[in-house]
Amino acid sequence: MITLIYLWIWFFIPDPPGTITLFRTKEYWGSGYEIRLNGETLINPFKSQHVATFQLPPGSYWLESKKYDSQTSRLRLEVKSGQHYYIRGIEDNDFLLRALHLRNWPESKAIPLLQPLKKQSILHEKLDRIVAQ
Amino acid sequence: MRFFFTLLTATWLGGSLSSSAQIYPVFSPEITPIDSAALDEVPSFKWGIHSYAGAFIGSFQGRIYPNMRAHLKQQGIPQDWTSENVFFGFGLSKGLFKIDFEYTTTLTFGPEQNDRFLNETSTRSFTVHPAISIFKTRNRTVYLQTGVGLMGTDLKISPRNLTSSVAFSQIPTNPVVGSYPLLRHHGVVLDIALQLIHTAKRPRDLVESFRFGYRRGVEERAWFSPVLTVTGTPIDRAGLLYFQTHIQLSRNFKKS
Repeated sequence: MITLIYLWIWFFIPDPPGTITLFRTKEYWGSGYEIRLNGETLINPFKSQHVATFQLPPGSYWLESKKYDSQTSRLRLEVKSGQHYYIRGIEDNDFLLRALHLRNWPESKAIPLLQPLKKQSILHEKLDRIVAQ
Repeated sequence: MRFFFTLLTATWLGGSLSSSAQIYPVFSPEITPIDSAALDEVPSFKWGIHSYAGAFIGSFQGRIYPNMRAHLKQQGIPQDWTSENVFFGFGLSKGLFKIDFEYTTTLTFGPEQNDRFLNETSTRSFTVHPAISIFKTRNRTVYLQTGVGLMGTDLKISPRNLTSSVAFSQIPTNPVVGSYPLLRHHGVVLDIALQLIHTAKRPRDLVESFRFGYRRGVEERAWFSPVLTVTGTPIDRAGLLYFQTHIQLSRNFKKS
């Protein structure tokens, strides 16, 4: 009986979420971008020298960056339970291309870069809506 | 000369299209989002060749000839010391360094005038600019440029006398009172400038740049006329302040 109860609890308790840390380091003349998760605006604007942390249930997501005069740059995120993902925003701003690239960054290289960054607020109601879907 | 400009234009159009096609495929029906994971982390080109050009948009120059300026002011002749310029150049870059060879000329939209005189001033120069990168990020590079070259300025001053008339056929034999011959000043100049340019990231790249600089003659020289021996002309050390906006086409290589 106790085993059955444990199995029942195990079945219904959700997997712990994965954690996403999205950051941009100092960039001269860098501009702010809209960050979208599965098409929903999560951060606007996401400026250089900022870091945002949020949690997502395991699954596949599209993370996109866009600005009114930029190209959309996107990254496929495969979030696994309990994993921590560091994603760095790198801006290309030149005559041919304006875009904020989102790239997976190794944890060992990311952590030292996070120290001087300011915390970026995110739109929690949008995040909750994405998570509920 | 016409062949040269046709070749230059064709090279530029082809190069620009080729550079753009790396990002915006010419025959693609729509621009697809960029796959972030597919991009280079940091560009690391060892060397490159480039050519650049610019015209009156965002380009400006002010000439500094204090003694001739004082003479014109004294005679009531209008001053024409500022103008837009047209320029093109080519060069090589390697690591932190680059060298540019540039020809600049003046774009005139007509003479300055008052009741008594017309004055049209033009400047042209050929300069060589060794430069070193003093600041570099993924997107932008600042170069400290030095330079040496030849610069010449022409002054065309004509009196206005609309009360008397002369037959067109008699102009060659009928001297105009108060007429100045073509006046010219030329000499060797040294140059210092700061250039802000987009960092090259692609094998074929098209970038814009801005340059602000100052040019000064190495010695004081007298104005002269190439059509008449004139004595007692003002003596000036040439000076030029300029701001230029370039469009630069480059070919970059990773191997040295």
